[in-house]
Amino acid sequence: MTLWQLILIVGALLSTTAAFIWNTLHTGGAKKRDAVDIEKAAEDDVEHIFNDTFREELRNRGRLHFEKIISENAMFLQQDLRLTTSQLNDYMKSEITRNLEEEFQKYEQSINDAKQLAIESIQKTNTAIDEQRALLGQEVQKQITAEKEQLISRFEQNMADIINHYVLGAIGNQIDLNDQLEFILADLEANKEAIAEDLRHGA
Amino acid sequence: MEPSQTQQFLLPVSVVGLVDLGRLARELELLDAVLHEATLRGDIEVKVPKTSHLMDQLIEATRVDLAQPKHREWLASTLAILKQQAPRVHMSFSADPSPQFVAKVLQWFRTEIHPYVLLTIGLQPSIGAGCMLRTTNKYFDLSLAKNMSKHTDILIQKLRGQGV
Repeated sequence: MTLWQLILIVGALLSTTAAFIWNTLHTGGAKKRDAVDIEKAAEDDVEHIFNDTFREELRNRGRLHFEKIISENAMFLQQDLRLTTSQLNDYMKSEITRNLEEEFQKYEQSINDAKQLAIESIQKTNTAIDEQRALLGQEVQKQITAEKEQLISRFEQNMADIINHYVLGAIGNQIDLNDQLEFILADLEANKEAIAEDLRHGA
Repeated sequence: MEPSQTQQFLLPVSVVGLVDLGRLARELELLDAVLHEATLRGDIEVKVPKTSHLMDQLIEATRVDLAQPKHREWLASTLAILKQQAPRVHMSFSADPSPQFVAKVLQWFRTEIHPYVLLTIGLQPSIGAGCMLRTTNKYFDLSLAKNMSKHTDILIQKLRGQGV
């Protein structure tokens, strides 16, 4: 028995009671006493029919029925809730998975972009380093060449002194002036005109 | 014999420079003083004292008689003129030259440049080989180093030709 059936029965009983009371009240004065009696008898009958036991019985039945309905609804609600929870879990799983995949894709894309940027940056750096290395090599080569040229030039400029120093160090003590006489006289002969000119016109 | 004004005064190569001229002048002055004193004393035979080797060479070259006052006077005046007017050169060597070496060099100067050139010898060990010559206004570097520096191109050519 459902709640609606119970309500229907209670409603029918109440409407019957109401019709009965209305009929009693509207049957006239003559019947007023009878009506009072009848009313009293009805009340007694009502009191007799709807006594406390019956009411308690109805109340218990209503409570049980209500509890049953509540229990069933609770069960339905629990099933719905479980279903909803399951669907919600599935939805959440799918959403989270989708979001995570999207985020992972974004992260992967970001990582790839960063990786690409890093690779490009490293390539640029390598290119710059290679260029700098080449420039540095050229500069060092140029400096070495210039230094070499400078050393050679300095050596050539001072070569006479170097050789003279070496000759003096090697055989300086062994050169006799008498051996140099021919060399000295040849030099004097080569400068003879200048010497004579200076001695003739000197102060 | 009295020296004539036109006679060529031959300066021996043993008379190298001003020092020798001064030495000769002092010796000649002493001789003159000694001989003058002898004359004043009235010595009949004036004997010329023993002279130095340098003076002997000068006497031999100039053929003067030092016993004659005019010869001594002429010789003294000539030495004084030489001391003042003779051209002078200064030569530096890496070591002390021998007298023979100096004589040969001086002979060249007096033959080729001027017969009365006076030479001063200096010592400059850094020269190594060759000499430095300084005249009145000029300086001649006749050293081996200078000679090499003049021929640097040849040295460089030789060095580069050998792949240096």
